[in-house]
Amino acid sequence: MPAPRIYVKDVKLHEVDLPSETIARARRGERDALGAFYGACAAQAYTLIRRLVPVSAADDLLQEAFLDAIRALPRFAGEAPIGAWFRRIVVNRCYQHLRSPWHRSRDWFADLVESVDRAAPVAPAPGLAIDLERALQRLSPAARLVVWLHDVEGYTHEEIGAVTDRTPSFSKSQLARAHARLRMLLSPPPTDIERGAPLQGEVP
Amino acid sequence: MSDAAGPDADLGHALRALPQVQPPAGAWAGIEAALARPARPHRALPALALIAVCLVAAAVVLSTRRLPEPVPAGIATGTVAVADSPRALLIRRSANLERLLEALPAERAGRASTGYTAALLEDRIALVDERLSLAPQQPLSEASTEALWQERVTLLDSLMRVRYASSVGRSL
Repeated sequence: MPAPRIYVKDVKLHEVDLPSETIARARRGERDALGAFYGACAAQAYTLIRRLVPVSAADDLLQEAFLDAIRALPRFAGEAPIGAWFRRIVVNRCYQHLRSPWHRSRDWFADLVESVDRAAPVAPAPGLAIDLERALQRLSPAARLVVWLHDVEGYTHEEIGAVTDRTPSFSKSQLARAHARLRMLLSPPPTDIERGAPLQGEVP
Repeated sequence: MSDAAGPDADLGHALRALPQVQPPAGAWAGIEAALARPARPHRALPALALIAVCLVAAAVVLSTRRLPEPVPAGIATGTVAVADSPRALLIRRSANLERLLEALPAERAGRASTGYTAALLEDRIALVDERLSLAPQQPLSEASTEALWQERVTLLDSLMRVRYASSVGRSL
């Protein structure tokens, strides 16, 4: 079967829905319906995964999340959009990855190897998006998870606490620290005047 | 769904405006291939296969332990120094031991004392992991980090021995 078309729409993953007939056929394992499910959710799911975990793990997690969902489709009640149901699977998969000691070690080692690049300041770039993406990658995995789920996916602190098995206070403090760090990373470097350096021609 | 917006609303708006990332071209093919594969049987491996797995795992562990400790590469700098540092070697050994533990058959009810020992070791590993994961917020000295990784390797090695002995004991 040819690869299904991936629809890139300005729709969040939890808003994605499919006709009930397509979902019924997907439950029966019909490949074109499963392909429609993939095509409708893949871009949003992959974006979510890429924001939460290191890029080296993203491809595997996308595949695992879809396999989890396809195997669980017979249990999908259909009360909420299928995208909202699938998002929970994706987020849980990502969180399992982040808390696994083996993956944490591996990611931490990857961070070490890339430390030279990461130590460099965020250079002014033509677009804020690039700066923001780079700044986001500099947050700790827990902070990145919290800031993304709260600010982009619309999770409450209670919901984040439920996902991470922590208290809402943990989510609030992580979010506050993540925001402060993002603002610090995105702020332009101080000028000579702000640093108090002597101006040209001025006697220090 | 989300809590009330505060002064960080502009940051949230910028995050929401980040572009989508396209999944890799072969992702669907990989999913289809995985769906076509028969599901792994849930039944326990036959005793002979179990013993073979354990013996291979033990052989790999023993051969790893006999390897001389690699000498850090002189005064190398940058990523080479990181990749060859004692800490990096400990991280690799730790990862290898994790893989071997995963290769062992899943734990089942066995002797209570063995289970208790394994649980104690796992708890101590979790404590080490917790401390290491806090490093970005509470930086550690190089010596402390290395000591933690060394402890992790020692604990994993002990856990491997306990789990291996338990597996072999059940199979015979």
